[in-house]
Amino acid sequence: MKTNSRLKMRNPRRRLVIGAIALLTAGLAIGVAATVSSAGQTPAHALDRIPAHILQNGTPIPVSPEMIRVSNAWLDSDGVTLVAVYAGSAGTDPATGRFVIVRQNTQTGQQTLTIVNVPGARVLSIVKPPTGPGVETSAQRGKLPFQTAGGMRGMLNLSNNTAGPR
Amino acid sequence: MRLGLRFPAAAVAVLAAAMGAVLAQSSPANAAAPTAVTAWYMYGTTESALDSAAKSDGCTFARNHPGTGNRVMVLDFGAARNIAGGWGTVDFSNVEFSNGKILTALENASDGVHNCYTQGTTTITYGNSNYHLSSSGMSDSDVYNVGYYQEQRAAELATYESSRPDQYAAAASDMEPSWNGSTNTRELVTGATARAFAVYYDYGSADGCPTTGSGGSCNNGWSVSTVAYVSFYGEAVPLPEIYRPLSTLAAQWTVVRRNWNANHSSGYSFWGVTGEPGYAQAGWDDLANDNSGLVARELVCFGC
Repeated sequence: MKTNSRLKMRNPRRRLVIGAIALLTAGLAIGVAATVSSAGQTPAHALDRIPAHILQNGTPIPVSPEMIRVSNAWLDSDGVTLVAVYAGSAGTDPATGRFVIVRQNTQTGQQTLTIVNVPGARVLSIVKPPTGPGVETSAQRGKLPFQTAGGMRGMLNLSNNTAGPR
Repeated sequence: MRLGLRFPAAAVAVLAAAMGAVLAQSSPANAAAPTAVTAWYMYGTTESALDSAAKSDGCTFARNHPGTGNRVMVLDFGAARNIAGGWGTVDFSNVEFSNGKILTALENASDGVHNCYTQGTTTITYGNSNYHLSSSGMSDSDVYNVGYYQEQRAAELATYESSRPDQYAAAASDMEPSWNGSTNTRELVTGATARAFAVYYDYGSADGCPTTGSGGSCNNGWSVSTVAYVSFYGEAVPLPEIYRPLSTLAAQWTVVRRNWNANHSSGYSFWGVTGEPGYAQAGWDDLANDNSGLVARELVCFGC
């Protein structure tokens, strides 16, 4: 086997964050988040800024319908880190509202996928999120307003992956 | 298990070793789940961004390669589309990339794996999906050509990798019953099998299929036998999504296996699992427990 260009292997940095808070206020529950990540580094990198925006209808969804039935999605990148939030309901439990958050660092190759559930909320939709080029970095750790199928409003906090009442 | 991977002549010896490892890696009863390897969703909005992201991903994959055997690196470029009279995808930021640009990105991934090599061998895989193919105007023959030319691009990637015996090439698709009709989706596999360069991984779901028996209906007019076709006909091999509820999804795929075996002389086996972050190994275990000795030790995971 070819062994040139070998570098010392760095053990994957993995972290598992599982938070579960059962706070029910105004019919909204703070969700459960599970994140696993691995990191690496790479040379040369092309910046790819994507102003924060709601993805157009018809934009492909990467996540299986068995994980989430998507109602809408929001995407934002400052050229290094990217966040995509998919809102909807759990694929195999329509009563559970769900967000799937995909985060990438396009310089290091790091990618995480985080699920935040809102039990009993049914379908969630992102409404009036931060948009535009001015919030490319700040919005990634900010709050995303959302609405449940029943019309109740809440906030997805991207700094700690929890959802609660507005 | 079928030997579907094809490689440049210079890599035949390595291929034999790698495939031997795959064969030896099928799951005996109660075998521990393999370490998960990362797969990536591609969000680039420019060609240069797609290239550099793929290179970063390749480097990260290589640095975290968990062993001396062969592991599969899936880059999911989005939904298959007709791009300016040719083929390609629209990625997850809603930007179209032709197959030529995707090949360049895959070559960058190859460079990344090479530059950061630590151990083992890597199959770099051109992934797409069946997301809304018909409703975006793609006919059955269009979809056939998508599968055919995915395999062709895998062949071209293998040529690029020819001086790197620790790398292989393949194609893949996230084929989800809920996303597109069954007749149209089948053409991905039929086209890929007509070109037949390498295996064609199905890392999709058996969405809505039954959890008992050996047949029945699935979501969106699909049947269990169609899921069996897109995951095991010709070059297709299954790398099924086993997400929560793990036991339900593992049971759906067990029904798919039974269906294939009831209707064909060849025996269905799983070439691994696509897992959910935090639950990937448990998902592999569930499928292996239901299909003892029939699940290869491969575990890819978007977000692990």
